[in-house]
Amino acid sequence: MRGLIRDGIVELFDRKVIYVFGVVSLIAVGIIGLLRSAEVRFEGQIGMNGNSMTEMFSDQVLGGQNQFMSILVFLAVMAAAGLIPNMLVKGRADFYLSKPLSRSALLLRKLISIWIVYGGVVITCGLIGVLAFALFNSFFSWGVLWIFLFKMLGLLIWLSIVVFAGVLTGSTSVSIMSAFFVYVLQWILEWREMMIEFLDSQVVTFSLNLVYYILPKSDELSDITMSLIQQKAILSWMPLWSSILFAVGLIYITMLLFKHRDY
Amino acid sequence: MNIVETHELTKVFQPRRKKGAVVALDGVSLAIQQGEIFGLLGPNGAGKTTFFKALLGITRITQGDVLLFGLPPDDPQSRQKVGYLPESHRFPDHLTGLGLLEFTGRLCGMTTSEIDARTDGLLGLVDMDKWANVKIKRYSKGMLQRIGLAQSLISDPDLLLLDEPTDGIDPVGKVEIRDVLIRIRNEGKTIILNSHLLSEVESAADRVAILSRGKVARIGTVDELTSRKSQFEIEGDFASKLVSIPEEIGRKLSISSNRLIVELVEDSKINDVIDLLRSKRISIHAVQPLKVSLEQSFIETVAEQGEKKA
Repeated sequence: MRGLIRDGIVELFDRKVIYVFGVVSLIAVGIIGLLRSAEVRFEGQIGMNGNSMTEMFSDQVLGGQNQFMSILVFLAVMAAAGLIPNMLVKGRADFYLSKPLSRSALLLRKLISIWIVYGGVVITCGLIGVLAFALFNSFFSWGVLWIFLFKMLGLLIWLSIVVFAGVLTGSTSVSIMSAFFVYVLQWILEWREMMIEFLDSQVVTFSLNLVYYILPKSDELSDITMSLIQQKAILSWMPLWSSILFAVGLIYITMLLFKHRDY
Repeated sequence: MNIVETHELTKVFQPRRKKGAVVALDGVSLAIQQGEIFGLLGPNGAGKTTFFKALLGITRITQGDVLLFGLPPDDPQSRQKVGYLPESHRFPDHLTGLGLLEFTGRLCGMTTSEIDARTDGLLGLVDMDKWANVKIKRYSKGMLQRIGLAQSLISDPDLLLLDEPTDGIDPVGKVEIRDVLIRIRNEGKTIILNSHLLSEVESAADRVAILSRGKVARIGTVDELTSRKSQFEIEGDFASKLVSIPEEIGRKLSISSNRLIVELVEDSKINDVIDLLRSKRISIHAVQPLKVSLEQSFIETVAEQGEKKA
């Protein structure tokens, strides 16, 4: 496991992926700095003293942090999409599979190492944003911990999709497209109730509901995160457990698929 | 003790469409003992690489049995003491040579101190110490082969599977690698060597199997494979001497002033030939089984298999 994590870190630097995250974090820090100067001017105009505008808009600030972390997760998934196809190219698959590790253990360790390495990068960049807000606006909320927790979970869910597509097709492009496809599909399915009203078919209703319950629900997970931060009641935990179930199921199917493949 | 045992090993690659199945291995039965260098020869597509992959569980077998250290390839423990240099390898090229050895060691379950204790010696052994901290993507073909050999040795394996180990290596390097292999064999390790370079196998291998169309066409020691059955070469003074061999003994294949080549009905008839030559007062200097190069033997075997198939 340590070897795979170290390998993942070396690869992260070698493929210059880390610099993309660095640039995104710098842009975020710049935006936070600009917000601060705009806030000072606005406070002066409306004559507010003492109470920071940031305190008033804390939910919006944390929402922004949540969006920023979503962008980081998106980047991490795109960057990690090629790792499994790269591992399984002719000549390299032989290298990995000739080692005294079962295929399931190899795949699971590789997935976890990707999650730890890229999750580590996402958290580090997220922390830079949090620190920048704390420095420029003297604002900090422990609610960010919920964001970190849910984004790590989200990353694992999206990684399970790209790893499945990577093992199934051995193609980086298809892995990226699969993640996009699932994202778009789950976004469309959020409007399923409206669609069902128009379509008026039991088969379609059943199919749409089935696909909706199977697929992960990233936007609804964001809503749960914000509710937890704002200490509001959670209307339904279904998006959380169904998304976790989706990832676990997909990882299991991927392991079965990998176990029976010839390389 | 048999390190590798296969019994009626068969691998059929079945394409998605039912037509055109490829039989890569067809009932291969082999037993490879501890401490030998075993050469695996065969033309392209004979099934040599598939044989390695079947041993390591990289490809699933269709039929038959495979045992590595007495364990089936599904058991990861069977690969615990195996080093493998794949053909057309593509090691993770973001690593340095030293990084590759450390990474391989980790995948083999070695500790940091165990890895550190092995790396310096191995880099020196394959003459790569100067390039240890250079990324693999900058290596030449020969350097890749050398570092590949080093990574296959990192876990101090008891069995080494080498698929074209000297591919891309200069002649001096080839001799060095052959010496390394002999040294490893002398330590009691087993090596299975898959190579197109027949001279290399001839000079290093204890036993050789020739694979053709997925079958073991011939197997034996290099001496056995290069000896012509019941053909002998006799050195002597044949000048101006009429020599005829009776049919019940064999037949004369060729004769010159100092060399006679005969093909006998059976090996023991060589004594009759010697008696015959002595009776004609021919001075005999040497008698030996007629030898051909491994290359010649290989070409003949492959051609025979082709004819059988036709």
